[in-house]
Amino acid sequence: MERSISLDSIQMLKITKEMGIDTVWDRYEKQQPQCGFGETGLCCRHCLQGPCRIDPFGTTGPKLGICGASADTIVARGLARNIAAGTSSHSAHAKHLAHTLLKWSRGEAPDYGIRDQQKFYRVLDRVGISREDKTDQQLAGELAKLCLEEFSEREEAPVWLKTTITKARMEKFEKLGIVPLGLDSVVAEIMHRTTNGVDADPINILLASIKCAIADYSGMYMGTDLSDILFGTPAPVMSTANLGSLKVNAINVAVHGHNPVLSEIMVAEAMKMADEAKAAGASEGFNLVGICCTGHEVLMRHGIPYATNSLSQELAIVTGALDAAVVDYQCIMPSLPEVAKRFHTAIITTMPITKIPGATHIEFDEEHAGEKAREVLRLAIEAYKKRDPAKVNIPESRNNAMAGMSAESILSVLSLLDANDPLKPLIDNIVNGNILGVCLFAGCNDVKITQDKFYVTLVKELAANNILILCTGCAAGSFARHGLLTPEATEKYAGPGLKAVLTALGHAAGLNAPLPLALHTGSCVDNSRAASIATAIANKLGVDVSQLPVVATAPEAAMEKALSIGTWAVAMGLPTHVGVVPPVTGSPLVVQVLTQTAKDLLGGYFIVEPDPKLAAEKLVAALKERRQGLGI
Amino acid sequence: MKRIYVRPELCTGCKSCELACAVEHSKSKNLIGAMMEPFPPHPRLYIEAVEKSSFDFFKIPMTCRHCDPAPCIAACIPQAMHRSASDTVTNVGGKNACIACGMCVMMCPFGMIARGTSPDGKIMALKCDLCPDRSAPACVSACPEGALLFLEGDDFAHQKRQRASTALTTANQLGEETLVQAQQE
Repeated sequence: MERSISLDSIQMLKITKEMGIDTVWDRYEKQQPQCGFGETGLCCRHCLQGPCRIDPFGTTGPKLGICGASADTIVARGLARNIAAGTSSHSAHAKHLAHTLLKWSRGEAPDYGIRDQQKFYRVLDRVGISREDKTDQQLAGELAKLCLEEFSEREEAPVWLKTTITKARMEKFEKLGIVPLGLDSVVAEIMHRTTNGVDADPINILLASIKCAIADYSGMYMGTDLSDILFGTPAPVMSTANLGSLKVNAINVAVHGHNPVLSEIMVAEAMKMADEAKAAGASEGFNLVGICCTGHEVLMRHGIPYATNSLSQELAIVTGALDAAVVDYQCIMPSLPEVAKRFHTAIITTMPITKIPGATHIEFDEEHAGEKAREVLRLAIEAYKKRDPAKVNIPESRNNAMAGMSAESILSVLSLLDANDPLKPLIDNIVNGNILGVCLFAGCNDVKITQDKFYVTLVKELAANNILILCTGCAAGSFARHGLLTPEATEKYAGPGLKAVLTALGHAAGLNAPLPLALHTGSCVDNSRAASIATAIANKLGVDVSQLPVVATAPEAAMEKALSIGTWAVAMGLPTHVGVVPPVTGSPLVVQVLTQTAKDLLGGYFIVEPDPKLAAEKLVAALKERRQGLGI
Repeated sequence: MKRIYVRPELCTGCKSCELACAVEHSKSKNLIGAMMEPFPPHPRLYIEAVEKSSFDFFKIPMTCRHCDPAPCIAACIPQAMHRSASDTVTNVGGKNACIACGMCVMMCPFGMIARGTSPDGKIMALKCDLCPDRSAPACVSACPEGALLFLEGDDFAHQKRQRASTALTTANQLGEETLVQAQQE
C-alpha cells in the first residue's frame, strides 16, 4: 500500500528510507499481522482473571469470557471505554481553558484576556449569568466556575448541553435516559459500569456510551466557546500549508498538540523576540508553524502556516529545518525524540500530564505564560545554532489555504447576502437544490489508510454532487495540504449548483473569487461549530437536526476521540460515515444497533464503508432520503 | 519438502494462527466476511495449554505433521484421505469423497483432525492442507513471534544447531576468559 498521496510526505519518506529512520508507517508494518481478537473487539482485559477472548466463528473456541460475559457484552464494554477516553480528552481541553479564564479573572494570568467581548457576553447570556453591575473579571470568574461545575455530578443536565441543542433533541435524550449529569462524572460512570460484574446488557451499555458521547459534545462546545472568548473568534484568514511552509532562513518552531493556551502565547512572544532570532543568524526571525489541532488553532486565529497533520508529524523533523517542536497534549507520538536524535530538533514537552522520555520538559503554567514561552523560544534558538545545512531538505510543495470559517464568520458572510436573515440564503439554496446538503468532514489520518487518499477522493465526489463541505481537525489539515481550501479548488471540483453559491458568497465577501471548496471550521474540538450551525438551521425551520440534509464523515478515523465525536454526531441525528472499521465487528448485535437501530432511536446512525466511491454514494443517498423527508 | 515446524518456547498463546487458519479456510478469506458466512470456518491447528505450575501454562502450537506413512490415510475406508502430488496429506480431492466416518480422527496420533462443517456446509473431517493457494501457510504468516516456521526439515535442524552452537561458543569463551583471569591473578 502507498503510504501517502501527499507530495511532501512522499519526499520525506524517501529520506527516512535512505537514513534508516523508522516512522509510524514502518512501525505499522512491524505490527503486522495484527491480532484478530483485538480487531473485532473480542478481547477483554477488564479484570485480572483475563485476558479473555471469544471465538469470532463460534466453532471451536469459547463463547463466553471467564466471568460469563458474551461477545456482545465484551464488544459494547470495549467501545464504551473508548468513548469515555475520547470524552475525557475533550473535557480536559475545556477544563484547561476554564482554569485559564479563572486565573485571569483573579489577576493571576496577566498574559491572557478577553479577546472577543461580544462572544463573551453572548455566552454569558446563553448560560444564564446576569451581567448587571459586574466587571469583566467578575463575569469571567463566574463563567469559569460554572464551567468547572459542569464536570462534577449534578442533578440536572449540563448547561452546555441544554442551551445548545434543539428542544426536540433534548426531549429525546431525556426520554431515552441519556442525559449526562456531569461531563467527568459520566466518564467515571462508564468505567464503573464496564468493570467486571456491573453492566452486562449490551444495549444498556451502548446507551450509556451515547450518553457519554453527549457529554463529549458538551465539553467540546464549552472548549470552543472559551477559546473564542480568550483568543478571539476566528475570521477568514489566508495562509499556507505543507512542509514547504518551513523556511531555510528562519528559526522554525512547530506548535503541536491541541490546546491554544500555550501556542497563543508562543505566537505573541515569537513576534517580540524576532531580533534575538536574527542575532542568532536567522535573517527571517522566527517562523512558527502548526501541527495537528494546535496548528489549526493558530492557523485560524493568526494565519500561522499549517505544516502537517498528526500522522506525518515525524516527517517535519526529517526536513532537517525544524529547530523545535513544542507540544502540549493528544496525538503526540512518543517517537518524536527518537527521530529528533538524527537531527538537531529540540522536542519540548510543556504539560505536566504529557512527558516523553528523551524530550526536554519545560513546564508551562498560565501564571508565567510569557516567561515560559520565551524560555522555549530560546531553546529553539540554541537548537537552530546546531542545524546542519547538509541535512536540510525542505519540500517544495506548499499550498494556499483559507481558514477561520467559524459559525460566526459563516453567518457574517451570509449576512452580506441577507443582513436581516443570514441563514435564509443558505436554506433557500438547499431548498432549491443548488446545494444537495451539507457534509462535515472530521477525524484523523489513520496509518491503515494511504494518507489523505480517502479524504481527497471522497471530498471531490461529494463536492461534484453539490454538497457543501465543512471540515475540522486533520480533515481540514488534509484539505489544506492538498490545495482544497482555495477558490481554485471550487472552480475545479464543485458541482454547478455549489459553485454558483460559493461564487456568490465569495464575491459578496470581496474575495473576487469563490469561497474555498471546503470551509475550514476549526480544530477537532470545533466540531461543535458545525453542530451549532445545524442547530441554528433546525431551530429556524422548526424541525430537528435529525431531519436536515446534513451528514458527517470521518473517513480516516484513528483516535478514541473520533469515536466519541462520531457517536455524538449520531446522537445529534446525523448519518455518520467512518472509513475505518472500528473494533466492534465481533458483535453483530452491536453493529446492528450502531448502524440500524440507532436510526429509529435517534435519527442518526453509523455508515461503515471503507471504499471512498461507495461511501460517497451512501452519503449522497442519506442526504436524498433526508430531502425526501422534508419534501424538498 | 517444506513443513510447519514449531518453536513452542516463542509461543505467547495469542491464537492469531488459529484465527488466520480459520479465515484462510473460509469462503470470503477475510475476518469480517468469514464471521458472516452461514457455515463459519474451523481452524486446523490448535494452541494447547499444558500446565506448567498452578498459575502458569506452557502454550504449545499443535499442527498436522503430514506423516509418512500416515495413520489417517491407512484408516480411511473410502480412500478420501490421500497424499497429494505436492506431498500434502489431505481428504480433499481423493479417490472418493470424505464420508465423515471419523476413522482418521481416531487414528491421528496428534489429534489434528476434527469432524466439523466445511464452508460449503458439508460435514466432514477437517485438517491442515498447508494452504495450497499460499506461498506459506496462513498460520505461519500470522504468527507475530516466529513460533511457527515453514521450512525444509534440514533447514529447521540447521537453525537449531546454529542456536545451540552459538550458545556453546559463548559459554566456551566465557570459560576461557575465566581461566585466563584466574591465571593472571
